[in-house]
Amino acid sequence: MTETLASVEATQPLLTIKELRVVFSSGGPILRLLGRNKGGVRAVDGVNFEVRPGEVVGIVGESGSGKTTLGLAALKLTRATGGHVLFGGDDLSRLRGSQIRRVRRNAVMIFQDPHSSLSPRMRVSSLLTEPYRIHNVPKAERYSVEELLKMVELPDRLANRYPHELSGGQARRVGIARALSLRPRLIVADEPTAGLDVSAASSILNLLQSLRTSHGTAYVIITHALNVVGYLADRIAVMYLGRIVETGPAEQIHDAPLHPYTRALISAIPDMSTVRSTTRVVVSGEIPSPRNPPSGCHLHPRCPFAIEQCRTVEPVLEEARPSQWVACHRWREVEALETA
Amino acid sequence: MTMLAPGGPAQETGLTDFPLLAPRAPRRGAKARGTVLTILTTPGGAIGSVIVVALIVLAIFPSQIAPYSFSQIDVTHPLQGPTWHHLFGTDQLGRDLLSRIIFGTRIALEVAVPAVASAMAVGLVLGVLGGYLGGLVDNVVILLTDTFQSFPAIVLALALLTVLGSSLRNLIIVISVTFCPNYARTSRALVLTVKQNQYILAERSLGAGRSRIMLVHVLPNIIAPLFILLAMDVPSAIAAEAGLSFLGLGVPPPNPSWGSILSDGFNSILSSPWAVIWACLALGIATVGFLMFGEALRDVLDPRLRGVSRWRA
Amino acid sequence: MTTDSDVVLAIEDLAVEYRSRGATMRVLPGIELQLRRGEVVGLVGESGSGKSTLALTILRLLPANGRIVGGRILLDNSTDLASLSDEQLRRLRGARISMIFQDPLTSLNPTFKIGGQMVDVQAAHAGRRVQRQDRKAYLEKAVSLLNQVGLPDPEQIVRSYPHQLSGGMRQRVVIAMALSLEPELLIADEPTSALDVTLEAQILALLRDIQASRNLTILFVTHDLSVVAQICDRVVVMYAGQIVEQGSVVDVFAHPQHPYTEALLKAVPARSHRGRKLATIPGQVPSLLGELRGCRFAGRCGYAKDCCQADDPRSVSSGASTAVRCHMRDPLSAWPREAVAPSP
Repeated sequence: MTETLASVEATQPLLTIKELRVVFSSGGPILRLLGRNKGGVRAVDGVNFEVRPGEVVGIVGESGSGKTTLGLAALKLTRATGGHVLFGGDDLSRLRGSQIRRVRRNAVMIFQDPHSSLSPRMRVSSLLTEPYRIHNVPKAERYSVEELLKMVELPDRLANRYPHELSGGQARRVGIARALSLRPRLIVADEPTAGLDVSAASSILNLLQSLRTSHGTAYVIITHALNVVGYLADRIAVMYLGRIVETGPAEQIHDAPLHPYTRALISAIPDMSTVRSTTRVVVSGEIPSPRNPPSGCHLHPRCPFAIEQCRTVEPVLEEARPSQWVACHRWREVEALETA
Repeated sequence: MTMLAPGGPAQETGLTDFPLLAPRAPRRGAKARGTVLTILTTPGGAIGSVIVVALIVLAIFPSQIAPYSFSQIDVTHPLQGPTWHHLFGTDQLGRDLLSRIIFGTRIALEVAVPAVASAMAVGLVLGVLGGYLGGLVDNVVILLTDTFQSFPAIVLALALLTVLGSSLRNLIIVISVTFCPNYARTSRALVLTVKQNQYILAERSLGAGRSRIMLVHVLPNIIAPLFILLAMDVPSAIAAEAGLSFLGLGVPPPNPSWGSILSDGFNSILSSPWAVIWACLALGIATVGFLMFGEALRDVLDPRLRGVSRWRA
Repeated sequence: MTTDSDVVLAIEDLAVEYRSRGATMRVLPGIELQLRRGEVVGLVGESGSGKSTLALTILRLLPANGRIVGGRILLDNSTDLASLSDEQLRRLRGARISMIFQDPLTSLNPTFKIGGQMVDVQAAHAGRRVQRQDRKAYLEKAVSLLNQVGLPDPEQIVRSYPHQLSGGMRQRVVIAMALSLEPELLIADEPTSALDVTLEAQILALLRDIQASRNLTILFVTHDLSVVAQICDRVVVMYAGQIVEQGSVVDVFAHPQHPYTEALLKAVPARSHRGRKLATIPGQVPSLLGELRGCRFAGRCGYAKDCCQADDPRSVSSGASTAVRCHMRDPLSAWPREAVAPSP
């Protein structure tokens, strides 16, 4: 009953995001009318990327980067203020009612907090079959509860439990099983390993990897943990304050990051083999509030390489190396300085 | 709209190191037997349950239990104190007070329970629609509740009863109207909290429509506190009915509402205080009984509302 | 050789129980641990290991249903914390031992300004009526401390409320508060777990500086081995309420003696594992309700033999590690020596 998507047009992107903007404005309708709602939070500020069938894209960023909002907006779970999201070629903003529902069968989300994303008064078996009831899936096309539990390596006896009777890892797996029940083509996973013990986190990663091989689903993994994306992702996009600052194949980003922020993130990944090494803290200070982002390149107040141009002109993504794009005015100089 | 997630929510510490011992949110699906047994183990719950059950029994089987009919007049023995023939004494028309009090239980519950139940039903619908849908619907709901709540309940009740005329059915309607805004407000507030939960977003992401979410995911999660409110509102409704009957706007005589017994009793209080005593006792015990039951129910269903601090600094 | 005066905290045979709904859970059966002056000790374990319980017990901050049922906690070789009264404990907390927690937001009172809270900490330990000039002195000290933790514009910060500060700034404030009374020992319970990676690096660097400048002893509780690698001198590994290995970070990470430590080190996902299955530890932490026989890790251990299920392993020295609780490393145990031993 598994679908592999090898037969599907492998080159046509599954999800395309064009100049997506999500602004949370603080004022009410009257203030908006008066044009006095400058206090808006630009959570997503002009993002472009695409996901091909079966591909795993990692969106990496710290808190305030807007990565979660991006994930929600990509699935139309939060309203986009500008730009387009195309799924399978259809512009989501043009779809209505039942068409949106059809999209929801193919693009699902796994949420960060496993317990709070499961309806507390429903048993696991109901939770797993809820998607079928929502979409009126005929019995023949459904996975049984046992099959779904087996897919995520959970024992059958959990089918009768309530969410609060499950451990964090088990609840997370139930969330994954529920997402898989509809056989989606795309899964957006928000922090799939947050709050888990090392061993439990590795189990989840193993699971996601094997599901990817068996089902051919595309993933968008939203996380702050670079080692997680390093393990799972084909491509990585690094976000800072609502913008993508660098994107490229996972290996390349790890081995040869170009953007100063990416370098800082990579250098902050603790390396277990070198004990007591002083980590180079490449960017100072903290990520500013997205309510009031710095002008020009958002990183300029914290970036040791910033020059006047960085303060005034917003850098655009340019293809620095094959398939590796970076938004930095000085990436060439930075590379020269860093490798010197 | 919340922007989720700090850099890395980490492990639980402290007590939840050992999930078996962590305070656990009880599930509503807990078997009724379990809940009932737990209620009975607390002193408040036990007493409250006994009283509530007794009142219900009296309300259902008054004719079998009461020694006399409530309207049996005996003008030869008015305003008597307690005797063997009339354990509670008689009122100004010689009617047996014990029987009248017992039949009064039926009236009290007959009015109070449907009134509060229908208030909850209507308020729930309004609150869920307003709270979940927001926007114009919400504004209308708030407008309605604010309007009705701005009248003192008594004034509203009097006005409505005058217009509609006093009968059992109208009493129920009127009392229900005065309680309804509170349920609407409470359920609306609960819906707003529930709406923030991720599972609502999760169901939306799976394609669930609004009606499905409201019915399947919102309603079951807000209903428990409303039942508690219901249990605690019944005594208020009883008091409301008694009050209106006291004022003569309740059930017409000779129906023995506790309020009308009280009213008659006041007129003859100098000759015989017994009517007043028994009516007040009946009201008091009913109120206390339902309140204790309601509190026990609240403690069992939702320990979070108890506010007990478990940590010693 | 370390003299007794070097030992800041000596935990001897500490046993802690939790009681709930009639059941008793012996969370810590008998902990032996010493903290020497000026060292940074990492207390590592997964959830259910008891590490947080141990940290909270030192300052007697357990919840109402937790109790110390045995053992001693000796501070400076003289005071047994386990037997102190509430008032004595109060005077000690913050003054000689301080603690910082995971979430800086809930560690600070949202309704008071930072300055006020920092002054309160000092005033509470004054031991006499506090005059206005005292408060002024306290405020100056607060400003100085905020400076020392790397906060720009401390004058502004003392006038701010917690919610006006960012997460990283709040955690620095919390650290400053913890240092107000110059404690000898700082217990840090997952202080960076909720922070972003770059922020975590900054806070860890700060803690290292503070430790160096004050010769502060730090007990750092965490589940993250990489944090231990960055900041700790010694590491103490806990599993299911017991200490299973202790040793210097360099030695333990390079040559782990206990199978659990070894498995833990292997399970950290890294880029190098791409395309291969990640090592995980099968099974679950055993329940601590009721009696436990034998090695608590036996059910999940790749090296377990019959003796592991039957007998509790002793705590021995093995290789460069001390307190290794494993039959395989105990030359006097029944573990079959003919079996191929893993790397030394």
